[in-house]
Amino acid sequence: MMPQFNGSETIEAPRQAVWDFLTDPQKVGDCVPGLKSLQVTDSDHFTADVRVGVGILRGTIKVKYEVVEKNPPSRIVMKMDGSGVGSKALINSTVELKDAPQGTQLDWVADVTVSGTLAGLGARYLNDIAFKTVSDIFKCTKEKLKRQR
Amino acid sequence: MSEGQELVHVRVRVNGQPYEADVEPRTLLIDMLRDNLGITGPHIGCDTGHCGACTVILNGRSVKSCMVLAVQADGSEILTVEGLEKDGQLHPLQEAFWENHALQCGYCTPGQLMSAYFLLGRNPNPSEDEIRKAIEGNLCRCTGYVNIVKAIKAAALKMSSPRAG
Amino acid sequence: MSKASPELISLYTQDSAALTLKWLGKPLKPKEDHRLVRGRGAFVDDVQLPRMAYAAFLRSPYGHARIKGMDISRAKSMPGVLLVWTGDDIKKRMRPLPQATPPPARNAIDYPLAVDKVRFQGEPVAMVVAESRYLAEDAANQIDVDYEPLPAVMDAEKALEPGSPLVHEEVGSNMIAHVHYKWGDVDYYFQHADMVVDAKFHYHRFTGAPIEPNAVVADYDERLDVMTVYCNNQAPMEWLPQLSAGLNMPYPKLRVVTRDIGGAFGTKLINYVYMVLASLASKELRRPVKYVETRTENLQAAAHNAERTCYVSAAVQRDGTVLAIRMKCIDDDGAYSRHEPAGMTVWAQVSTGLYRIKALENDFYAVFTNKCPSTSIRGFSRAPHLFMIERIMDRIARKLGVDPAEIRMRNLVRPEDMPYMTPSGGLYDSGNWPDGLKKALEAADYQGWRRKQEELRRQGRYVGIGVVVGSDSAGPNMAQVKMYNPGLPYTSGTEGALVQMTPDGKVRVTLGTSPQGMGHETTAAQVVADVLDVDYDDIYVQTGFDSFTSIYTMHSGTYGSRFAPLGLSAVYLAAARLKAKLAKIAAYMLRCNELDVVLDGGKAFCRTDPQRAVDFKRIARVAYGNVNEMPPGMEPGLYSIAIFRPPFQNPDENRRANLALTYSYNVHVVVVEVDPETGMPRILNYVALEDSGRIVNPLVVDGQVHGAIAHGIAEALYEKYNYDENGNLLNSNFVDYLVPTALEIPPLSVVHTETPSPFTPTGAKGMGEGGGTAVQAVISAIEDALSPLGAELVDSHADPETILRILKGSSR
Repeated sequence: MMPQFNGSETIEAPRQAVWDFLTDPQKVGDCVPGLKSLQVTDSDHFTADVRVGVGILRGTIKVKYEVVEKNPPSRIVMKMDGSGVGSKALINSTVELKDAPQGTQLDWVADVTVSGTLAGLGARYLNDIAFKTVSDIFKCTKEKLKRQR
Repeated sequence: MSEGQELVHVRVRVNGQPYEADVEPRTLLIDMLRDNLGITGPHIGCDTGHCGACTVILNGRSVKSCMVLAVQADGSEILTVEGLEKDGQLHPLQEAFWENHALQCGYCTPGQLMSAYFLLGRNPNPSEDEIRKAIEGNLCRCTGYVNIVKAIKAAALKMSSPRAG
Repeated sequence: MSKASPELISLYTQDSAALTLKWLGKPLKPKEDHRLVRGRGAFVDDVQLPRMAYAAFLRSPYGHARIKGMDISRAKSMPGVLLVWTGDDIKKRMRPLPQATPPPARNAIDYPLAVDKVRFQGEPVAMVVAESRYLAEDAANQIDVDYEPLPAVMDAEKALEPGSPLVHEEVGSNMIAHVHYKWGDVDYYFQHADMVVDAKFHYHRFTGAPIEPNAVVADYDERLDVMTVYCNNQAPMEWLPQLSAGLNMPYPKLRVVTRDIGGAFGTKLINYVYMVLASLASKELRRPVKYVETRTENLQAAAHNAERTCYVSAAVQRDGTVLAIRMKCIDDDGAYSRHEPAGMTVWAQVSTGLYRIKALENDFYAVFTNKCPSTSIRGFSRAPHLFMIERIMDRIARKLGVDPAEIRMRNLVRPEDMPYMTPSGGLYDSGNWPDGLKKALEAADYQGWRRKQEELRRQGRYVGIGVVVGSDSAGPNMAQVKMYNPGLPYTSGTEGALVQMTPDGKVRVTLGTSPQGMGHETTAAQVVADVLDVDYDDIYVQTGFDSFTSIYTMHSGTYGSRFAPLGLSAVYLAAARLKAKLAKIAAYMLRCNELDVVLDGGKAFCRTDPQRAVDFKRIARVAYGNVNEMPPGMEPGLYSIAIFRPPFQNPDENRRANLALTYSYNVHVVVVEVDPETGMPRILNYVALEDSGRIVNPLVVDGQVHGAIAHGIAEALYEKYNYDENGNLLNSNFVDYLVPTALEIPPLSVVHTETPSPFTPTGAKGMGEGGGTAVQAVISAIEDALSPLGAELVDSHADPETILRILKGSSR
């Protein structure tokens, strides 16, 4: 399954602050739901152990994160490659930042590919879970930046 | 052993005999019975708790032993299919299963017998519907359940007849 | 076509003079049941050996992907891990699994662990052996594989289109094989028929799902240099060559053992890849290695049936007589042809079903896709074929406004034409099918139900009745594989048995078969008891197959319902030979004419002087120890070995051949009601008539009929595999793959007729697969229930959503 999701957040912070947040792998990593442990390898990469649970399948997957493309301060392309519990989850996401009256408009698009047991077991819920996982990262971004002020 | 896990000492009584074993906290009861204690009557047929081949009686209640951790069973009384016969005499359920050919490959049979045993202990004269409901958690691929239902009915009749016991 | 020639009938006819009929047909308590009800079954997972290690597999999450790299370092360094192998390690240790297919499909490279590419979700990619199963699974999860996903091939017809991604690049296309069959003057009949009825049908993907999954314990004993493999494989001799080559050990050093097997239903033929892997690991580690599959692994990667799509055309006369059939069929055989494409020939065993159809054409394709490899699930290839025929019969009945039972009656082969030769060379041995249909309809109160149906329809209820006839061909002639690959040196269908009277006068029997609950110990003992007139309880049958003690041929095993026609025939022959030897020795000891010796109740006496008797125990003591009392020159001992060989032939230049030894038949009459709110079908009545020749043990036969019906109901209503377009299997465990419980299978009524087969010495016929009749009957009944809406069901599976869609008025 390769559904496309998108979403939008209005963040109460200037664009540069949002950009700095999103290009800081430690900050992005901390926003991954179910995070168990995080290792930042360099400014564009981290690996993380993430807890996943779909239906009766629960376990930990290893996620490799990479910033693929940067057009400061408006566009980032990132990708996450997760494997574990007999499954593979790939998320490719493009984020666009625009100035907005309250601060910054963050528009994101992501496509999610899940293969393996997760795809089988969780077929019913996968769309919802995939959307929630990705949007949670950006909601967390919004929250953390709000508190940062 | 998974990281940072100490073995736990578990004591159980199975079919009236005391047993003990050192197991990981995550060890399933069915695995302790089969691998640690060598009690191979209960079988493993699935990984989601559906098939019921692992059914045993734990402290008087039927349970799927793949859905119980060995550590949870510490101090318990367990009855498995091997405990149904007494002094070489088959339990009426076992006799009925044999006479009515309520099994073919025999793999689900220990679970069926324990579920039937539990049913007849609570409901000595079950209807066909009640029997089917009681073994709903015991999957069989060989018999189509026809003879299993027949055997449980026959055993119920035998066990409740005045000449029994 | 017509009644078979007297010469052919005479060639096939077997002698049954040694039967006393004192023990056959009796519902004796099955021997196996005694240990099984006590929980003393000897299944593979019950094998516990000192120093035993455990294997687990890492499997592909992708349906189709290239393996770019693998990192096993973390797994290998975990404490308790003894061995981590990938496809490259296997490649160093064995040649690829031999392919039975013709070129270019023969170029497909197949290893038990994926090499370079994964071709179906669940394909094993690495094997870990560790001190415990828990550890092995932990370690397997620590292996990193870098995949490059590829587009998945998920539709067999699309797979044949140019430009489709290829499952095996080295083959150059996704076609495994293509065979064009044509028997009789098909074109003539189509030109001259009153009408032609067309349809496209689809037989869906499911599996047998026995409660016991695949399992093996391989134990290399370096003191005796013997590899013992405890396994639950249905045909051990089929893969012994691979084991021998992989280990570089000769057959006399390879002991393959099956004992109790927890059901198979065809899924345990191609599990030999695990047997080979465990054996290689055991030899390497010098320790026993056990592997037991999980249910998810079993449903995902063990064995599926081949889906089949057929375009069917029938040339029909106004009176409903079907003259000829044309088909184009495509079998979806999955990622590897490990047992398939045998299915593209096996259907021909029942080419024209039970009907007098004069000509048949079938353009048959077998195709690779990125799904689990297919194999011979119960009903193998005959069930889908008979589904196509029975469905077209229903269509014809609908078109002509004729009752579906009547249309069948008009087309059934007549008893006076039995034994009957079909256009494809099939030799139907015996059976009075019109009478069987009549009896089944009576037993099911068919007329009564039709009246009730009218009444219920007036009340707005959706009730339907399905009447279906089925053929259960059994005892396959393996020469059928020559129809897609003429070069294969694998023909006939044979089985061996040993019947020995031991020095204590008991009888010991070994079989070449590997039963999975069909009561071989019981029925073999009954045949021996019947021939020797020895007590059933004094006969001891070896449990399962043991290549060190069984009398085997390369066909040996339990598949294709072959035990009754082939195995029991070998048992009969061996027992008959032993009987003759006992009679000779008794004649000598009693100083009686051999023709006057009577064997009765465990002893021999002289007809002319019944007081002169000697019991078998004494004869045995003479034969083994007191040999000077034996007839001069006669070999001592009471061993009798027989290998039964039917007069099978290879297919001729037009692929005509008799491909099965016996043909049981059945008639199923099913009444179904559909709930208009939920779309849920409910079976109101199920009556099956079964004729499997002479019944050896009615308990065993009934059990098989019940089981086959349960599988058929399950397939029609509950069990269906769903893959998405990326190759993900969406139901690979019992949460979503719906195996029916005691609440889903209704009470079943079985009536019997017995028409012995002239082609087996016992008169027994193979049975138990049922020909898939239950699937056809349930689908037929649902279609009948929905017929007021003009519904036409083309699939072998009807779930509530499908039914609701019809009820709500949208297209099927």
